[in-house]
Amino acid sequence: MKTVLPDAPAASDRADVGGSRSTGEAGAARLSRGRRIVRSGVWFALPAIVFVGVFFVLPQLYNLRFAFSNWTTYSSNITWNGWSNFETLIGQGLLFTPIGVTIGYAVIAMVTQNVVSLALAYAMRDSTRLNGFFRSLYFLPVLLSPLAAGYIWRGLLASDGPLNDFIGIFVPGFDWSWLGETSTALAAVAFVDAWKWIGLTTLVYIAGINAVPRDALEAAVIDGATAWQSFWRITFPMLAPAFTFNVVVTLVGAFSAYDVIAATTGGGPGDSTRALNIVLRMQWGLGNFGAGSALGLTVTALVIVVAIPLVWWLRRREAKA
Amino acid sequence: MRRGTIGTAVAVVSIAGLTLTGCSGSGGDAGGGSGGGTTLTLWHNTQDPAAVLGIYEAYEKATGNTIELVPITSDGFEDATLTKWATGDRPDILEFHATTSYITMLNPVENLQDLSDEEFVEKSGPLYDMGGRGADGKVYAAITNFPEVWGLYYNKAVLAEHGLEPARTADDLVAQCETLKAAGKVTLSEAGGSVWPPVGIPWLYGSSVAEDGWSESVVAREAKVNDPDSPVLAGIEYYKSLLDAGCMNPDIATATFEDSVAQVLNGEAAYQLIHSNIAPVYVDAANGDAALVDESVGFTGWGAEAVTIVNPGPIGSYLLPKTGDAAKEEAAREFIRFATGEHYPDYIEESGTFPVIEGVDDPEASELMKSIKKAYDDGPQVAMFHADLPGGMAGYVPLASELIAGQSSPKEIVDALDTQMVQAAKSMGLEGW
Repeated sequence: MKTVLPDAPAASDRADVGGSRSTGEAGAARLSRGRRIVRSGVWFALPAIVFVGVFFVLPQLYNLRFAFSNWTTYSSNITWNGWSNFETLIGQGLLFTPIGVTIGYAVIAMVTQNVVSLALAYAMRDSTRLNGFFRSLYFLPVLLSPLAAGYIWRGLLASDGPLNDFIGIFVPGFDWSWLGETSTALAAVAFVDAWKWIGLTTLVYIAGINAVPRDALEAAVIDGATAWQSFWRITFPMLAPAFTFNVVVTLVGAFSAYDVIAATTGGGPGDSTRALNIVLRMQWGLGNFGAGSALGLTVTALVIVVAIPLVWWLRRREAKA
Repeated sequence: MRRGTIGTAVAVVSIAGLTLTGCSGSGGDAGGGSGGGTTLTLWHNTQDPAAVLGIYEAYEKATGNTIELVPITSDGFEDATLTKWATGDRPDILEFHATTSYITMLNPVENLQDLSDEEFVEKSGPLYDMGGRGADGKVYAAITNFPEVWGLYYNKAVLAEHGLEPARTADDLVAQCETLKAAGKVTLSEAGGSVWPPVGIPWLYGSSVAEDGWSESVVAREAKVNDPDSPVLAGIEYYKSLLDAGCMNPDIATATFEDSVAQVLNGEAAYQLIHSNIAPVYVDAANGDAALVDESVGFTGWGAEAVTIVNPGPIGSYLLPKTGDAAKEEAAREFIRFATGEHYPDYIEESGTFPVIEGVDDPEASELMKSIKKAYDDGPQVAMFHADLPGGMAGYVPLASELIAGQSSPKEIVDALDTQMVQAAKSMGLEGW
């Protein structure tokens, strides 16, 4: 068996060990290098900081203000109105129900996307020409406009569409309006969202699977582990970083759902797919900009409340793994 | 909107994930008013037909001015326009709805030029009794296009086969539903998938039973939309009765209005209730065969009683925002005078629509268009009742989806509408709300 030696110390670390320079000189040199790294790091980070500041932090701050204002299309005077927008939304049933729909949508999309992606990634983990073709194929929907994806699936899921025609081969006379029935519309739309992004999460899982040490898997085989045991006991725990990334990104991304829903159901039937951003758009269309901002703030709060504990928990899980 | 809030508004729009085009309403070339060389920005509906686009070209040729078109997609046109407007962006000319409720949403006293003294108002007969004015009674919109006439498109052969005359009233439709249902036909093809068409029946029904002055009494808070005798409630209850009786298509939740057009054209359904501007979609569905459409499809006005409901639409309706640039504002007025005066006969000839301004003869028209004009002329013409109400009851659209899905009753819906109306009226600063 090949013995893996620990990495050799870096040059700056060797300076203290070699004894050719005094400890003070070496410390100064290390400090100077550290400063240079920090200084250059700031410059590298600056574009991202400016971008996030201008397009995320600043709008969030303004949105915070407008969420508590009486801003509407009817008047030029924008004044503080406390919790009035939230009270109005609650009174009209436009806050808690859409929060429930948004969470339901996000959970269905996240679970579907991760389960399918993981299975696909495991199936296509080896870098063969055939797998390369299928990886590209599954990635194609990622490149599609979400609206286009929505319109395509609206046709596929129509009661006289190809899906029902296919099911009809096995169940003659099968007729179900996947997007028109309140019992299936949310799941169907969340599935479309998952389909759209599966290619991306699959690539992340493939990278994670291929980073699992071969010798650990070989040792498991030698010890008589089955394929499932090998996956569940070795591969899956070592996929923790990829799992964290995919779960968080898919869940948080689905909280911001709008385009796929707009293209498939427009929020219907009834209020079954009326997610927060759909209601936001409706309030905006009614000229209730303050109420729209309040819904925008709710989406942000939802992301923060869910994402931060989730990331913390998943990171702890990574550490244990 | 106060100038100081424009930047903040832009920021909020970006957080909502909405698209900003970044166009500046009055930031083009410095112009010299009607002397030529002025660049005017015009926000226009992408559904503008060639004849409407022809107005802009003709104006440029006639004046030497330039019109810079900013397209607003017809899908979600109202939302997109109001969103852009909310950022503080202003065009020199705005193509938009000419109903009182929509005009009110633009805060016209502060933001729009008063067109009351323009010549076209006097030459348009009773048209400006049905739209074009703000809540203060001043005219803020120039209407050049024949108004939307709401009613029933019907399949001639289906009705003839069952010995039926085109339904003119709510009772007619209910009676015919029994016959058609027994024959396995869909009586009325409804398009819940297009979101807005389900407003048609309740609005037409309500408009035709609303007593004179009802809208004013609601604005004065003397009557409510959720009163037991409210015409809104009556319209929604009628709609529910049609649903419950199985008079509509089974795919109502997902069908689009184009699907309804196809169902009426091919005889699967007897009727589609929608407005007259959809007529060209029938020709498209017939692969351009206008003769086939004339042979197969007719149009009739419809209401609880035999009336014809009309509503000025956004295509060819122009409002002039105050931009603070006197030369451009004057050039924009010049455009309105050109479109409603010198160029109007050419527009009617090119568009094939019927004139709304006196002094121009009717154009050659298809049989379907003639039946629409006949419905308009036969009347009696009634304006949509929601146009003058605070908020224009625009929030009914998602509520209609709840009605179709069986999630809300008519009473729950009018209660929700009343809440929305209070919200809008308070924002408008109306007294007594």
